[in-house]
Amino acid sequence: MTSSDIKSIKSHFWIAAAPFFSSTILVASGSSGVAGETIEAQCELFDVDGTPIQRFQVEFPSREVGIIEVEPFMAGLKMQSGIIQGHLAVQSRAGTTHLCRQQVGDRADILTAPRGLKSREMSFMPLLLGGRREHLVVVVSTGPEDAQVVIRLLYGSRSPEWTVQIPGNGCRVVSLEHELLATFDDSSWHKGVMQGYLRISPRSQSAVVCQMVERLPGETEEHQSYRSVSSW
Amino acid sequence: METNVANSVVTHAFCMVTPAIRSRVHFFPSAGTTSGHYPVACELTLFGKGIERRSVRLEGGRLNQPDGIRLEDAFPALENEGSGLCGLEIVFECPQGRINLSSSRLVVEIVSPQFSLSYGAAPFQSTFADTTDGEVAAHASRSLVGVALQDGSATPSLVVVNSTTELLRPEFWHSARDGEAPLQLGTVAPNSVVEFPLDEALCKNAEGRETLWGAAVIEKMWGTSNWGLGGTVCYMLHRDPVSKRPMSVCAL
Repeated sequence: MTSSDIKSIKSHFWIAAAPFFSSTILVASGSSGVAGETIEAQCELFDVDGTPIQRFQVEFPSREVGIIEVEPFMAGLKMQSGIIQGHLAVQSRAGTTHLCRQQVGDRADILTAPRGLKSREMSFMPLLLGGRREHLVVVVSTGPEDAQVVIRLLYGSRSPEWTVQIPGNGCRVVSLEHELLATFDDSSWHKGVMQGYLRISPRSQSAVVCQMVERLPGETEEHQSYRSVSSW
Repeated sequence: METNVANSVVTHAFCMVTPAIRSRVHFFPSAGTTSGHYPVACELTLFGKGIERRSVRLEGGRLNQPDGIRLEDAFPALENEGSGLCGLEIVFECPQGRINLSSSRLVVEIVSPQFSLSYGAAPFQSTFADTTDGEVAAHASRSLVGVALQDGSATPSLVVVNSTTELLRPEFWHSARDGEAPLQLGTVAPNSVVEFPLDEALCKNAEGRETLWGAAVIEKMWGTSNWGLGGTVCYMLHRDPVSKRPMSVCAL
């Protein structure tokens, strides 16, 4: 979560559409407010290339948790990597908290607003490589300038590194196994399951936020599950 | 009067220990844009009901190098002790006085054959506050806001991690018919972790909401960290209502 000025707070979320994904933003203030008081949340939705798609405002009583169901606003978003997706910027008054309920398949995760990473700052994500797991790395550019992100994977004694470009205000989903590791001359991660870490660092003016969608294998295809995790 | 020093930072988290559930702790010592590989030591302290408070010091860590450890490797005798929620206190220390470690991160992973959950611990804070006459000043008050969601796939609870030697009574408020009302929670013993279910305390009399995923109760609670001294952190935990498996955790 990044504050744009002292009177408001702005968060950036990656959102994705049905049938496989569903995203809902929750907004809460730290008081019950006075009778009749309301909170406004200004929302701006961008497609994967950063093109503004919708700008809308949601108002709700400050004594309640505001629920922003994004689905009705998602017409016009493009598909990338087989997912209809976009970047939602949410701004409301200082002291409010933004969360995202992200449903992937049958599972719903509640995510805090991801931390914005400025140039040369770093975040990390623990993961288990191999064992038929798959990881989709999601990067959102929070500003109008194009972002460049260095993704380094540390596992065993290896640490391959890739650079991913994200259009200003846009987002990218990259498969770790099928797009990044497929270009690296090592297949040791296929054998068994090993602990690894993703380390992500932007190299551009635009701050980014990151998250990961992980597919966990089951005994059969019906038993496989997914989860969303923020970068930390 | 000394100024804040952030080459020593601390956070608190919780983990789960049962014969079927294991926890791992993942560290990322970071100092913003500082890129050197300075040494960083990690002190991991375990505490909880029925568990003797004890620490291990892990040397060999480096700035910007993620690493992790299984809890049973750090504390081999753990599986013979109590089971349930345990508290963790994690301190990072860098001998370089100018390194500010407050952007470091900690992720706790809780795994069983049936589920896997990762969550980010509350942000690290300097282990030193402004000091006057050698006495540590009161922990800076923070505003805490939690969102509890109860539906067919989630039931909420508040987890309070108390690493202090004081008996604490968490103070939270929630919206009521005529304004606001205190949330009825119990006490938290020194060096313990308590999970307060919120289905009765917060959600029972709340109005249901219609959402695209079905009917749900979505309520908020708020407070300050004034009651918590310096060694207390709160988390919102959502469990599967049937299996009671933990589904997600958010730091307040």
